[in-house]
Amino acid sequence: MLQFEFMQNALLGVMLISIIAGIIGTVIVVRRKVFVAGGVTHASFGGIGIAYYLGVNPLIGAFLFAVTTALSIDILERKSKIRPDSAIAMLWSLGMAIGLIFMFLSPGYSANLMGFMFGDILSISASDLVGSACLAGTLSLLAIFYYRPLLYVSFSPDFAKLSGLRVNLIQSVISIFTALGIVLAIKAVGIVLVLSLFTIPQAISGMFTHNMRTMFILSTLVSLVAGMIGLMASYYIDLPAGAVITATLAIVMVCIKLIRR
Amino acid sequence: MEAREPILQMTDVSAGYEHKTVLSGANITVYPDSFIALVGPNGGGKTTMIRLMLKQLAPTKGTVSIAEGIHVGYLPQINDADLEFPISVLDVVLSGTKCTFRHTKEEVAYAHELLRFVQLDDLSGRQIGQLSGGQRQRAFLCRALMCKPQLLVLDEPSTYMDKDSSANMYELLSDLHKSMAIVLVSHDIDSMSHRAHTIIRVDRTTHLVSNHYSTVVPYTPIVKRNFAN
Repeated sequence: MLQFEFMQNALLGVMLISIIAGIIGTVIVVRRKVFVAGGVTHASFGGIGIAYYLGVNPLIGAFLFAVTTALSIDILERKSKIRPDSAIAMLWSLGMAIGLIFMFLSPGYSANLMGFMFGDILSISASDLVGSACLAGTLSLLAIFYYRPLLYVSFSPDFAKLSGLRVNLIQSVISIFTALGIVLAIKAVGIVLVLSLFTIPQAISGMFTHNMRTMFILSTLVSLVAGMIGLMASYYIDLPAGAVITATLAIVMVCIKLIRR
Repeated sequence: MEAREPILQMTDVSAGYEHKTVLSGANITVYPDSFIALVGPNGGGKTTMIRLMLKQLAPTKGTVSIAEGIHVGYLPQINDADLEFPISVLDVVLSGTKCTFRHTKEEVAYAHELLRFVQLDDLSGRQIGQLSGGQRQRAFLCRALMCKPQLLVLDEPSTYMDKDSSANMYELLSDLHKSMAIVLVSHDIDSMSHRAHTIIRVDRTTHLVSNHYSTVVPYTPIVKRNFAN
C-alpha cells in the first residue's frame, strides 16, 4: 500500500500526530484539562467555518479560534466569576454554531463538513506534514529540556509559583501548544474523535507507569500502533481511519483492564 | 543579652478578597526561633494570614515585611494535592526548589537526606498517592524544607491524620524548631498550648492568647541542623 504518495503521507502523518498527541495528551490528562481540550477542539470549528467561507486555509482559522479559546479559558479560570466549566461549554457550542453558519453559507459544504467532523487521514498534504513535523520536533525538545518545570507546574501550580516559577507564562505556553496540536490532529481524525487520541493512550500508559516522562513515550507508541491499524483499515476495507483508531484504542484499553484484574 | 531582630513582621494589616475584608489591624512578629500557633474559627482569617506571609496576597493596609535573605517553607493543607498525578515521592520533594532545567546533584542528595530525616527514603520511588496520609504529609514537609527555610509555615498539618502520624509530625516539628522559626495554623488550641511559645487567635484581627516568648533573652545562636548526621 506504500507505493502511493498519499499513503506515504498518511503514514508519516500518523507518526507525527502520535508524537504530538503523546506529549500534549499526557499534559492535558495529568492536569485534568480534558474538558478544556474538548472545548478548544470544538470551538476551533468556528474558525474552520469562517476560513472556509473566506477561501483561506481552514487550519489557520481553526488555529486562531483554538488559541483564542484556550487562552480565554485560562484567563476565565484564573480571574472570572463565571464557573469555568460553564464558560468552556459556552465557547464550545458557540464555536460550533459559528462554524456551522459559515459552512452553510458556503457552496458545497456537506462533503467538507464530514471531513472536519470525522477526519480524512488520506488527504493529509505535504504542508500539513511540514507543520506537524515542526510541532512534533518542538514539543519533543520542550518535553526534554523543560520537563521539570512542566512537571511541577502541572502537579501544583500554586506551589510552583511559590518556588519562583513563572507559572502563568508556562500555562499560557502549554495552552498555545495544545491548541496547535489539536488543530493539526483534527485533519487526521476529525473534531469529534480527536479527544480519543489525546486521552485513551494516556489512560492505557497510566496503567503501566507513574512517571510523566514514561507516559509521554508510552502514549506515543500506543497512538502509533492504533494509528497504523486505523490506516490499514481505511486502505483495505475502506473504513474511516479516525473511527477505527478510536475503536482500537478502546478495545486495547478494555483488554488490558481485563487481563490485569 | 541582646534584642533579636524579627525575620517577619506584620504591622496593622488589613486584607481581604473583592471588597470583603477578612482581616483588619492584624499584627504578628516572628523571630528566628519563634514557634507560633495561629488558632481561631473557620473563616476567621488564619489562611489569609498565611497567604500574606507567603506574599500570595498583598495587604490592603499596613505592611508585611520579611527580612532579607529569609526563605519561607510552606506546607499546605493535605487535601490540596492531586493524588493520582504521575509523580514520585522524590520528585515531589525536588519540586520544592526552583528548577528551570534539571536538578543539581546537591539538590538530589539533599532531597534524599530530607526523606531519610522523615523516614521515607525507602519509598522515594513510589507514586505520591500510594503513601498513607501521614507519610504523604511528611513528603510534603520535605518539599517545604527543600528551600532551606528559616521560617516554616504550616496550614493544619495534622488534619486527617491518625494519632500516631500526628504525634510523629509534631516530633519532627520540635526537631526542626531547633533550626528554624515555625508558624502553624491549628484548630486544636489544647495540643498547641504546650508546643508553641506564642498562641495567637485570629478572628477578623489578631489577639495574643499567650506568650512565653521573650524578645530579650540570652541569645543562643541558631545552629544549622545537619541532616546528614
